[in-house]
Amino acid sequence: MTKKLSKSYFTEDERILRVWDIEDIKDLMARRGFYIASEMHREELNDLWVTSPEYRKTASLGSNLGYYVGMDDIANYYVVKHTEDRQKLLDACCAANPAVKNHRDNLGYGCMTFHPVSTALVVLSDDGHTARGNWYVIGQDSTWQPGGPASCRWSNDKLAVDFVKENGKWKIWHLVIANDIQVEASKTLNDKPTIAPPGSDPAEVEFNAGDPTVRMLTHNKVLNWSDNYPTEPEAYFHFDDKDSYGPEGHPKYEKYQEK
Amino acid sequence: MADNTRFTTEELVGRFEDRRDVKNLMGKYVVSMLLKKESTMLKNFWSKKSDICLGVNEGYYQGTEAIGAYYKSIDKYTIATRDLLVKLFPKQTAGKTQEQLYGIGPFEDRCINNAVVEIAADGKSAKGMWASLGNVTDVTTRGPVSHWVCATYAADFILEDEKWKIWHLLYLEDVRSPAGYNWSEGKNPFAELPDFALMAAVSLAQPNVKKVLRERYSLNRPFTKLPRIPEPYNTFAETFSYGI
Repeated sequence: MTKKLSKSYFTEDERILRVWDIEDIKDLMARRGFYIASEMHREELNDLWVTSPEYRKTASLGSNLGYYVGMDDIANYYVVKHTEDRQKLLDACCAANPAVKNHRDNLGYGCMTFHPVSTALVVLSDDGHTARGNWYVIGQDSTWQPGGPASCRWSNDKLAVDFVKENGKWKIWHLVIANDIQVEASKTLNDKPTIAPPGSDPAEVEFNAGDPTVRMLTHNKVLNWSDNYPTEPEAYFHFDDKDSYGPEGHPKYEKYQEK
Repeated sequence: MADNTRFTTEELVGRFEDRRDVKNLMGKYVVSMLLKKESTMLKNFWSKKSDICLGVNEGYYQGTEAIGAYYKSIDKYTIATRDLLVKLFPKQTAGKTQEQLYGIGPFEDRCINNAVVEIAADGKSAKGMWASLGNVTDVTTRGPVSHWVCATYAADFILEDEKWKIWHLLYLEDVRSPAGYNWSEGKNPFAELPDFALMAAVSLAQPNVKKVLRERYSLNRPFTKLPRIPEPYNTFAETFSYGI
């Protein structure tokens, strides 16, 4: 990465546009938080993610256990599989309670997701075409269970995102959701095993069940942040795949390819 | 996200300041609840317009009088809590004036994040939406009870005498559940305490427009979308309202 240019490199007009670029990116990620809470997964991909063929092909959605690459694979997991999972849950819910109608509008019955973002750190490339950011989420996932109560889990995640400007609008290009903690609301962290095997948490199981394009351990939360992935964005001039939050930017990606 | 290319550099600076001021206004609003400043909130934060309203899960406080009565009832609750705690803890509260002790007991951390703010192209109004993950401790007939609170704020703002003011505000909770318990059950696990029986006489003013705006989460809540997210707009007449 090239050393970041000083502020004096830019004109006053450019500087205020760069200020707004960062505002727009923060706004984009906050919108995503509200889209998730309203289960607007399809709308999220349509409105907030890249749309041009060039970027659709390389877009990625990552977690601790790998990446979905390309908007088709992302949509198959994030929209199609999610909807199928919600339908299975609704089927079980209707079987348990005939008063609940098995209708598309009832998908998500007894469920709630809340993943608001905070602690924004956004770096805009000097060329102004891309940007990179980190956020932290203290969120929760509540899921209907037969007989109740619901599974109510706290979920702490670090988000790392590459953005690209398409037709004057910022879009999500690569997104990594690195989970640190999943714990039932009525339990303490002490109730969890000291070393839980990677992939043992419900969110990880769900991610893996969708058949990710690239299966690899990206972040081992057993070791907290000692693996330093995803890394904090640094000042840069223009985008380089090797530093991205896509699979190519992961330090172990070459080893994964060798396998 | 508005199209920034339609504005001049000076306008973009002004719009950035507007956005910052709107965020600061909401930050001050939630901190005022933490600091128990309800007695000044109507005057400090709200528009002078007659159609102001505050929507909560159970309905709207419509108009200046209703919103004022709501804050006043919180003020009365804060006073009642202080008086009870002074009675129960004479040693710990000795030597302090009533003013110094105002606010002991309840704790309302309803901090906000996840801001989406749109300033109208004409600069006269704004819309915003925030998420809140907070901790609220109420002093109740069961003693102090700490809750996790998950909620959404959505608001319309109006520029009055060059200051941003709240015009319509929604504060809608999804979760308000005792800390350490599963929030899908809606249970309060704590027993009534005779020492705190006096709190039964204290209640908050109810909305003057009763309407369920949002059911809190439970195992049997149908899926419920959040309020509509603000969108770029030119004038308030062109967009939707968070008011009644």
